[in-house]
Order: sequence, then structure tokens, then C-alpha cells
Amino acid sequence: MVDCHIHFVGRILRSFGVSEADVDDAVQQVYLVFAKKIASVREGSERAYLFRTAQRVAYRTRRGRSARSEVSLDGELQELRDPACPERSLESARGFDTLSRIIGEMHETLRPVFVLYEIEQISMVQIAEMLEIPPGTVASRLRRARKEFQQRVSSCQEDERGVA
Amino acid sequence: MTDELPRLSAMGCDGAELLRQAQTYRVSDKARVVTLAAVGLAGTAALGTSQVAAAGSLGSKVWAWIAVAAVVSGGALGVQKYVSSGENQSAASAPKVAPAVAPKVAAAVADEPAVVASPVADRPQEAAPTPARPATVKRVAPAVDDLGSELAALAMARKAASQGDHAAALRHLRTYRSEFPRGRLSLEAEVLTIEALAESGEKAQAGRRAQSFLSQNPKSLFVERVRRYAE
Repeated sequence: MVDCHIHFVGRILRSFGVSEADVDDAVQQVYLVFAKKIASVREGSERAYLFRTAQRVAYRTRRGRSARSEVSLDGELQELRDPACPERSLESARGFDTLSRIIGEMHETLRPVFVLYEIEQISMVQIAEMLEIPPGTVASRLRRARKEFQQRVSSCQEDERGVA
Repeated sequence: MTDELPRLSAMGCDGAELLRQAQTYRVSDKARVVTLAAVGLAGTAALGTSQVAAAGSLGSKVWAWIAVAAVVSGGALGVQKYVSSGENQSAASAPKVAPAVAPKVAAAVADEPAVVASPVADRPQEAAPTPARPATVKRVAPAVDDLGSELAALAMARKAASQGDHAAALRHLRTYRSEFPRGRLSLEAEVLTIEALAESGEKAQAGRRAQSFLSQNPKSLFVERVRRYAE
């Protein structure tokens, strides 16, 4: 079970704003919660449960991180996941940070649908089951989320060009 | 019914590269091993995740493994920190052992009652598990590298079982127990043994081991999984 979904959990945490420095700890927290509740998790809905738990843990982790103001973003990025290729790791971490910032600016009802569809590449029907919402709602939220995403990406790029 | 839209990452639009990078993101091997160990242990002890995070800052030459010692009495939780160098030094060979530190458990499990660990001792081949030891036990924590080896050993057993070759699974599990008599994943190995025995027709033996497992590890994560074999 851990092996099946651990990377999924990691991506959800990163998508919902957990920094690279905090993600290992947060993954473990998700699984400890899951382990406690495993008996009550319906068979076949483990991934949905992990998703909801990861969202909650991400929220708590972000809140804890913002309270620890002594740790800077640069400090976080020093904890690189691939010592053999630090440049790639740094670039990757920054890319995910940018993406999670954009996702974080979306309306909260749009984020789960966007992450599950565009990052996890889960079908709309499955997303509807996971989130327990009608498929039509998934589709409409996804359309809005994509529009917001593309607007925000364009805005980011304009900002970067302005800085350059 | 809704029609699937093409993913933005496949459309070459702005932001597609960010999404493609995110899709290939993987957690680190260290996080995977530590999480597996924590979940494997969660029925017997919780792992102080904040300490694990702190361990990550020790640098690449130092592996740190923090185990919550099985010292639980009246809700107090003793934590011991084991640090050893990464050069195949086993934790048993005189690691730098910090004294017990203040109880500190991840917020995720802070509201849970503490549980008493029941270490899995050396066992004869397919023999019933030995009785649990008294509550105050110092668990010798293996290095993370050893955990990786344990995981690999159990993965072979799981693979054999998934292919229906339960005799091979039992052989792998015997090897695991002989190589890691005090392994971190001993509980999982025992569960796999019970399942393999049951699947290979040794239902009586599986039942005895299942009952023994349940009596020794009533709060283990594996209780639901094992209970069916005890009935």
C-alpha cells in the first residue's frame, strides 16, 4: 500500500504547497494517519483517503512553516533530493514551487480537481468518485481551473519578463 | 457523462512544462524507506517524524535513524536517537546513541494512545512466535541501508506470493528471518508467512500463528489482515 501510492502522496503534498524540505516528514505523517484509520477505510477508496489526508497534512505543514519565519525559501532549497545532480534538483524543486503557488491562488474548490486531472491524470469519472461530487461538477470545475491556471501562468511569465 | 479533455501537459501550452515536471515527481528513497518502516512499526511504535526531518540535515555521510524505543508506560513515550555512519556500520555496533530525549510525537498521531512494542525475536522456522517481552525493551535500530535490504528481501517474498508460488514465498521469508533475526519488518514478515501458509494449504499452522500474532500484537496495523486466518 505504501509503495503503491507514496509518490502520489508526495505529489499531492507538493501540489498543495508543502516545500521540498518538509515533504518527507509530511509523507510520513499522511501514512501514520492512514495506518491508524486503515480498518475504517473502505476497500478501493484508499487513494481517495490518502488524498484527503494529504490535503489536511499539507495545510497543517504550510501553517507550521509560515510560523517558523526563521527558515527562508533559500534554506529550504538547500535540501536537494539528488546530490548527484543538484542543478536539476534545484530547478525541479523551484518548478514545483511555482506550480504549487499558482495552484494555491486558485479557488479552493478548483484545486483538487485540477491536481487530480492535470498532474495525476486521473479520469473525470474517477475524480468524481474520489471527491464524491457529480461528474458534471468535476467538468465545470476543471474548465474554470484550467482557465485560471493559464491566466496565472501568463501573468507569471509577464512578471518574469518584466524583471528581466 | 463528461468527455475527457486532453491534458494541458500534452498540449504544449504555457505551463505545460511545469505540469510535466510535477507528473514525474517522486519522493526520495530515504522518505520511502523511513515511511515504510514507520508504517511497519506503527502497530508497535510510532516514529517521531520531526526527529526524522532533523536527521535529514545531518548530511549525506551520516545516516540517521530515529526509533521510538518501546518504552511506554502510562502514556509516556521514550524516544531514542541512533546515529551511525553510512559505511555499513550496523547500529548495534556501538552507534553514537543519544540519551532518551523529551517525548515528541508527530502532530498526526499526537492524540493517539501510545502502544507497547512487542519485538519479534528470533524464531524457529515457521514456528509460532515467541511470547512478547516485558514492556521496557530497547530496540536496536538498524541503519537505513539495512532497512532497504529488508524491504528487498520481503519484496521477493511478496512477488512470489503474488505469482501464486507460496512455497517460494515461504523460502524467502525463512531467509529473511535468518538474515534479519531482529528485523524492523519482522511483523510484516510474520503476516506474509501466515498468508503464505494459509494459501499453501497449511491452514492449521497459519491459524495458530495468527492467534499468536493477535495476542502479542493486539494493536498492530495488521490485526484486520491477520484476523481472518485466526478464525
